[in-house]
Amino acid sequence: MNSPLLSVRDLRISFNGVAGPFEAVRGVSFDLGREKLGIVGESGSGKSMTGRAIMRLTPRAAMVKAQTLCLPDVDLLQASEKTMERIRGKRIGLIMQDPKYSLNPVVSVGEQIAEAYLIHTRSNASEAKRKAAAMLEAVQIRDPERVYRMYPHEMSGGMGQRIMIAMMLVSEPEILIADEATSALDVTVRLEILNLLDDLVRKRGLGLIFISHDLNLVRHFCDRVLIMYRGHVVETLKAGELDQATHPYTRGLLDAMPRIHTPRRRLPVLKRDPAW
Amino acid sequence: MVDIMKSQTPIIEIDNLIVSFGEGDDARRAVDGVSFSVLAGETFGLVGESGSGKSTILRAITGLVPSTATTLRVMGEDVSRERGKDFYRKVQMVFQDPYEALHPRHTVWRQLMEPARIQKVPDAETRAKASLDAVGLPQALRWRYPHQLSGGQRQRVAIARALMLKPEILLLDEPTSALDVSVQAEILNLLCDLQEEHGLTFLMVTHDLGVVAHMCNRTAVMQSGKLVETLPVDVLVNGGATEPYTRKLIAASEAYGEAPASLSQLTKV
Ligand SMILES: Nc1ncnc2c1ncn2[C@@H]1O[C@H](COP(=O)(O)OP(=O)(O)OP(=O)(O)O)[C@@H](O)[C@H]1O
Ligand SMILES: Nc1ncnc2c1ncn2[C@@H]1O[C@H](COP(=O)(O)OP(=O)(O)OP(=O)(O)O)[C@@H](O)[C@H]1O
Ligand SMILES: [Mg+2]
Ligand SMILES: [Mg+2]
Repeated sequence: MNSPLLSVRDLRISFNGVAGPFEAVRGVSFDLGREKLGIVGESGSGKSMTGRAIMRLTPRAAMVKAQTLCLPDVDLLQASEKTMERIRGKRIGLIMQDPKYSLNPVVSVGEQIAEAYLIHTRSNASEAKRKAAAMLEAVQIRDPERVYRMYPHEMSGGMGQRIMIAMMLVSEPEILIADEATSALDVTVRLEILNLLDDLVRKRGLGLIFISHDLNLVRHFCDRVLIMYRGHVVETLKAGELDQATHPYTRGLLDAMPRIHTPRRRLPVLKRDPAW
Repeated sequence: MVDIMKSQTPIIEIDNLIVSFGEGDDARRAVDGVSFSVLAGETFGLVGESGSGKSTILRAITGLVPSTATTLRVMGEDVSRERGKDFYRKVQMVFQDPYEALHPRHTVWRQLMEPARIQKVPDAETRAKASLDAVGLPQALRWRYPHQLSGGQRQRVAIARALMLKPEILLLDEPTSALDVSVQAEILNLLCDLQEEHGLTFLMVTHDLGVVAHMCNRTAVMQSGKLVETLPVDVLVNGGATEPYTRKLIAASEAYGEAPASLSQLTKV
């Protein structure tokens, strides 16, 4: 891979719990190019923490260490908070797992998207408004003019996710981290959103980190997949070769998927090996 | 899937349900004249477009949003106006957004114990421990606050909480959307076991037709506040849907599961 957009080496995140220190991320390493990198993994395995560490948005209690965590021109471990403020949203966008709680509850969703545009570009209010409305349409919001004036608590689960996607795309970041960003969308709308992201990767060279539980989506949409289990990467695969996974956790995932045409009385469950 | 339909007794009866939001020019019907009923002991799916009113229907049943209906009956009782304390024991809801169900300043343990305290459940502690085990959460997490959990851990706390009162009806809004498929399998198996042992009824919103095929007896399909059609799941998966929107949904889901040549090809279905 020629000159990655982002390099992560030996990322470790720990918390001081009542029962002693707890390592939520235990040595994660990867490079991100102008590609769609999927991250799949166990619930609680450290996917969201990894995404937040890249943005330097881990909770205060978290201790973050790494050998390398950098953009080509910025060391994210050393950068000042002021530098980070310029990077967040503008160069790296993060779509959080709980979109409705990352939005400002007292500002209409349209205004929030317009504001994000204004902060990161030299433009005026009317241009920002036009851009925000266009973004709402691009993410398949029905009746975008009316929704523009609505507030986060008035959004359905899937509308909230799309507002967040619109807000992160409007400032055209170089890297986008999408944390379960399409889980509340019906399949037809989801495919439209994926097409939009795919276009950005192909035409603008966006680097996309796509955290998802949806194996079918990852298999068809991403270029590569990291499989995470208990704080580390247990396997890296070409997305199209997910079926050839060898790690027992990944195999277990593939088996546990409910299928439309292969009914089973019970779904197989994993026997988790402490050695994984 | 439970093959035999447990009964023919409707336990949730909804006729011409209407929920409106907004005022003046912005007034819209989020749920626009929806009718269906759920039989005791069955799993009934609710699928459809994002923003079509699925969550709003569940909220209307529990009285969280005002609604009007010709009929709104749960367990034979008219709940269109008020619901007794008993209702909130027998009917539990798992919200789409776990943050909404959980109190931000209560520990996991307190989230579980609080409803039990209100309903004066005698063996609350034993139940709380068992609920955590049932959803695969380590007991060590019980002193954490919601913001100290991962998304899927929060979702499982919400499920554990709903199970605390041993409800008869569970309204499940995308209950496994934040779980990896191995944990999802454990939760779905748990729900099936509860249904077999105690005859629970599930009304379940999901975007995953694989989950619908696995869990549900019948499903309703929604688009823009209206119920497009209601059909048995075996008819749905065997190409028996008649409405164009349903056919589009199933075609997209099928294409998505197998290997499409390209993404753009998928969107054209
Ligand atoms: N503030 C905190 N204090 C202690 N532990 C925490 C805190 N926040 C998160 N954790 C723990 O860190 C681990 C990793 O969390 P993370 O949110 O990254 O998981 P995840 O892989 O995104 O899971 P999911 O798929 O369920 O969202 C989890 O076990 C979680 O309980
Ligand atoms: N409190 C509210 N105020 C105004 N409008 C609302 C409110 N709650 C929901 N709506 C609107 O009602 C419609 C239906 O929302 P609902 O949450 O029921 O959709 P849904 O089918 O659950 O969608 P999703 O699959 O995306 O979660 C949406 O257009 C939404 O904007
Ligand atoms: Mg997460
Ligand atoms: Mg919803």
